[in-house]
Amino acid sequence: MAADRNAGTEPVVDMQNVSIRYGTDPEVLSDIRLSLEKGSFHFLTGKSGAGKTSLLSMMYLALKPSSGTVTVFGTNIGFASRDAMALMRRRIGVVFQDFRLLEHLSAYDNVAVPLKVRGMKESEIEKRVRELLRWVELESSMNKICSTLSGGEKQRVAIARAVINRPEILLADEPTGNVDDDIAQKLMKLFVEMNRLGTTVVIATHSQELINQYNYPRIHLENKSLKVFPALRRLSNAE
Amino acid sequence: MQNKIKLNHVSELPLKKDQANLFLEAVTAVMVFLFSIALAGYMLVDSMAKNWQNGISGTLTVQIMPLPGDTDSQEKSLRLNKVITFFENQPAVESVILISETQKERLMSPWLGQDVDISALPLPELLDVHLKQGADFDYEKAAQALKEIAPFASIDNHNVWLHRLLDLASSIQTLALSVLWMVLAVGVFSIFYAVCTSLGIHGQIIEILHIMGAKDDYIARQYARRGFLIGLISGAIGTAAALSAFWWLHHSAVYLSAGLLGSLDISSGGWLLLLSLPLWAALLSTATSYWAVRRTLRKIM
Repeated sequence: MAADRNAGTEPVVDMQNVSIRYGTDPEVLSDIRLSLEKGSFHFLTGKSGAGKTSLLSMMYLALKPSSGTVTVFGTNIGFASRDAMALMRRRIGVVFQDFRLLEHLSAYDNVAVPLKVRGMKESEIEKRVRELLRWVELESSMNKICSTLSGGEKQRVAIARAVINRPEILLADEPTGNVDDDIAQKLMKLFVEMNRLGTTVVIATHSQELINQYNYPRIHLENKSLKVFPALRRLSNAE
Repeated sequence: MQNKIKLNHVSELPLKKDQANLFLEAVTAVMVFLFSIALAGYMLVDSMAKNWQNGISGTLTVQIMPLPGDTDSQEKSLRLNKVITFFENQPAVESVILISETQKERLMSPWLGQDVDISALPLPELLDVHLKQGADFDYEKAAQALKEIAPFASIDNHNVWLHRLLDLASSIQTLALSVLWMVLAVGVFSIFYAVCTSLGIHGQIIEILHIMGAKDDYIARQYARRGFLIGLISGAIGTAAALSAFWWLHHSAVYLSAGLLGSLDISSGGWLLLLSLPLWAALLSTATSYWAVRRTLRKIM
């Protein structure tokens, strides 16, 4: 289950001397160096305002660094065309803390968005969306407008939308924050399973319980800089 | 039993409900209305000028004034024949027609009414002289020669006021063309700024779509589809309103046109152009919306 077991050698995300500054405000992140190998699994921790969202935003290509270079799938995002960026984003799934669903659309239509933007056939979209909504136990609510769903249901729609494309990178910001324990366990199993199949996963969380339960390396943000803590080796009973 | 999916072909951007599109619907209808009126005006003036030119150029009117105490009809006929013969002998003249009493009555009717006996009035005899096509007729020389043999006759050269009328028509057409270009420019700017406003309103949705991997083209096509519908529907409303106004104006002008303006006609091609304006508005709105989105999104993310 450890990340090292799945990790390859090719980094899917590579950041060198990256700094982020909004306007004339002080830097949020300073001189960051980070390399995420293909198939790795990391937790992202840090206090509120430590820069977790900024770091994730760069990973899902919504933010370019103020200085330094960010390379995703081997492409320096500073030089990628808009269409190339769109094609790279299709390989990344994102779960936002505030869900960012299209509130006027149904659960089905929200989950279908990543497939529609790729131009997938309607019949294939229906098959895949229905299957995934059944898996997150939302099949009966698929026609409900998102604004009428509960927090937990929205969370599950957001997660279904993030994984529907079978992404190569999955980024999640507090993905289990609004769901009960059973659903949280089920969702974590989904992330682990996706990681086992080769998806690089980064989960931002405040939950020490989650971090302890799943023994993966941890990226910690503090004082504008970043530290990576390796997975703790668990001692077996025999040891 | 499987849950049936309701909305398969929804647009992610709720453009139908946003204020910018309501504004655009109203502006498009008004712009198409103004464009239709200006275009119809242009075509009407063009048609009127052609009618004037065809009807009057190559002709001149000769007036033979009655002399004081002139009662001898034989004497009058002699004087008339003298002038007719003068013109018939000119190489550039095709034909000379004497305007009858009935025709004169009709010409005078707008001023004197229908049932007035004009025989008692000292009206001049009128000759309608038609020149040969392309003939070089020297008006001044002919007027001088006519004065020598018949001082009681004078030539009314239509070309002088015809040219003035045609100059006026040309000025009106230039004005109409300027209005057409202005309406077109204002229309394009309105669409552009309405689209920019709408992009601002839906900024969060657009950001989500981008994060999901949507290309700018995907978003621009949603705006283009909406632009097409707005252009077509608002364009049809604007054109219908313009045609109603035009019909009313045309109906009113019929009374005025008798003898003054000539016929107020638009060719079948012109009608086709007017009726196709909603389609042109739809195409313009589609292209402008698409371009505006692509241009604006380049600055985002």
